[in-house]
Amino acid sequence: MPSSPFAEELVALLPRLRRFARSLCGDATLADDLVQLACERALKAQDTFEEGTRLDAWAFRILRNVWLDGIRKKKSEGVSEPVEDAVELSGEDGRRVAHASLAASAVFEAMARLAPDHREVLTLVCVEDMSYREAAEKLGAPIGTVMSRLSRARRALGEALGLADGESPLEGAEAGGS
Amino acid sequence: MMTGDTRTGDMNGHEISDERLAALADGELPEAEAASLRARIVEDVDLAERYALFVETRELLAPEPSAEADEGLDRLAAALRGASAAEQPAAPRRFGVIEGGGASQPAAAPASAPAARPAPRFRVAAPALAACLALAVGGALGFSVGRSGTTTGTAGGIAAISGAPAADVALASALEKTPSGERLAWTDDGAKLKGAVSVVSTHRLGDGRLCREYEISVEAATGRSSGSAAALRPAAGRPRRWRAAPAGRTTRPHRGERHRRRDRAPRRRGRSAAGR
Repeated sequence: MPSSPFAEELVALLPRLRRFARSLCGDATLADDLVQLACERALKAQDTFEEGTRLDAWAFRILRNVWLDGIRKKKSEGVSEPVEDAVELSGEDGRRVAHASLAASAVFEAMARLAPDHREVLTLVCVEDMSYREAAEKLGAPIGTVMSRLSRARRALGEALGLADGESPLEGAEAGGS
Repeated sequence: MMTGDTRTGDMNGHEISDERLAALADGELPEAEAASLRARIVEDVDLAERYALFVETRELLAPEPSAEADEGLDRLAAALRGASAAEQPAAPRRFGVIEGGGASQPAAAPASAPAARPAPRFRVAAPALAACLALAVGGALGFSVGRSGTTTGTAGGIAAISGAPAADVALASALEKTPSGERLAWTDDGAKLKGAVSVVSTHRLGDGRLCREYEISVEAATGRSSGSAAALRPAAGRPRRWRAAPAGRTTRPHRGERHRRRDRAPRRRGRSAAGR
């Protein structure tokens, strides 16, 4: 049976999902597993995806939650029985799927509302992929300033988009399952 | 603003600043510092959530990665398409562990076992716990049994695996190179056996070691058997060797694939800045 159009959209996102996963966990093998697991959950939860919103943001959030779930689980169960741990982690848990939706223009709009110096440094580093040094030269500011602006700018952006920890409107009541 | 900054200190009681987390997400930390920060992150959910924000905001803004041929991506895509096909209404399907056999579940499996698992997964069938075998692969492979359970299938086939060098090679190779869900088949004409190894999942344990759970199946003239076990690889920074979980010997060292966002040497200049 052919894969669905939805799956093909996810396939198109794979390079970014993998880059995202590698950034999160820092290990290529583990990252591929995270991507697989996240895609699996995304497929199961595809009915909850709202057409017209950003599929990438939705999938990132699922992948992030898969990663955090693994850490959380390990924390609560300890490491005395690593094998059982591993089995548990690989277990099915279709309920814990975030229902994140970001309107296509949400990031653009949130960026537009940021303080100009925040927007500027975010653009240089995250969009144009400059190193901190290059951004500092471009801005004529010390690296320390670039770093503090950049982290504050991301906090602000994250809050505007509802990504900040603990208070995310993107994870509705359904995310907890039953 | 977030109060999270004060929740997580390093072992000396120093806070881990947002700036450092952002620098990690941006590939700006020297490798050693990045590794130690990552080790902290996987131990601390709050810290992990804070870190995720910086990775996520970056990724939402970042341009497409440059397109390049990539086997790993092809594999992921194939798995995803397979899962999607399986996800569609028709008969739920599990991947068979045995080539051509179609079923990963031995006929003799206890009735209570895996039937209850919800839906098809594109990983190789998750460990059918009730049907796990004690795998006697330790002798030849340097791996001892990760877990033992009810024996099903043909014990003779499993016992015979220790005489099959091909199984050794396949297992070592699967652990090092094969992404979860992919199946590596082997045949050993000398021992008149064939079989397959599939890594089922990969996890980072609390102490930084990587744990890979795998399934292995053996087919002999007398029947076939399958089972699962786990192997551990030490944390980064130490020689990469796989060990069975919980005990066992080692195979060849492995240098883990290094990941950086961009193919640049670690930037020294980021170090002093990141320390603030």
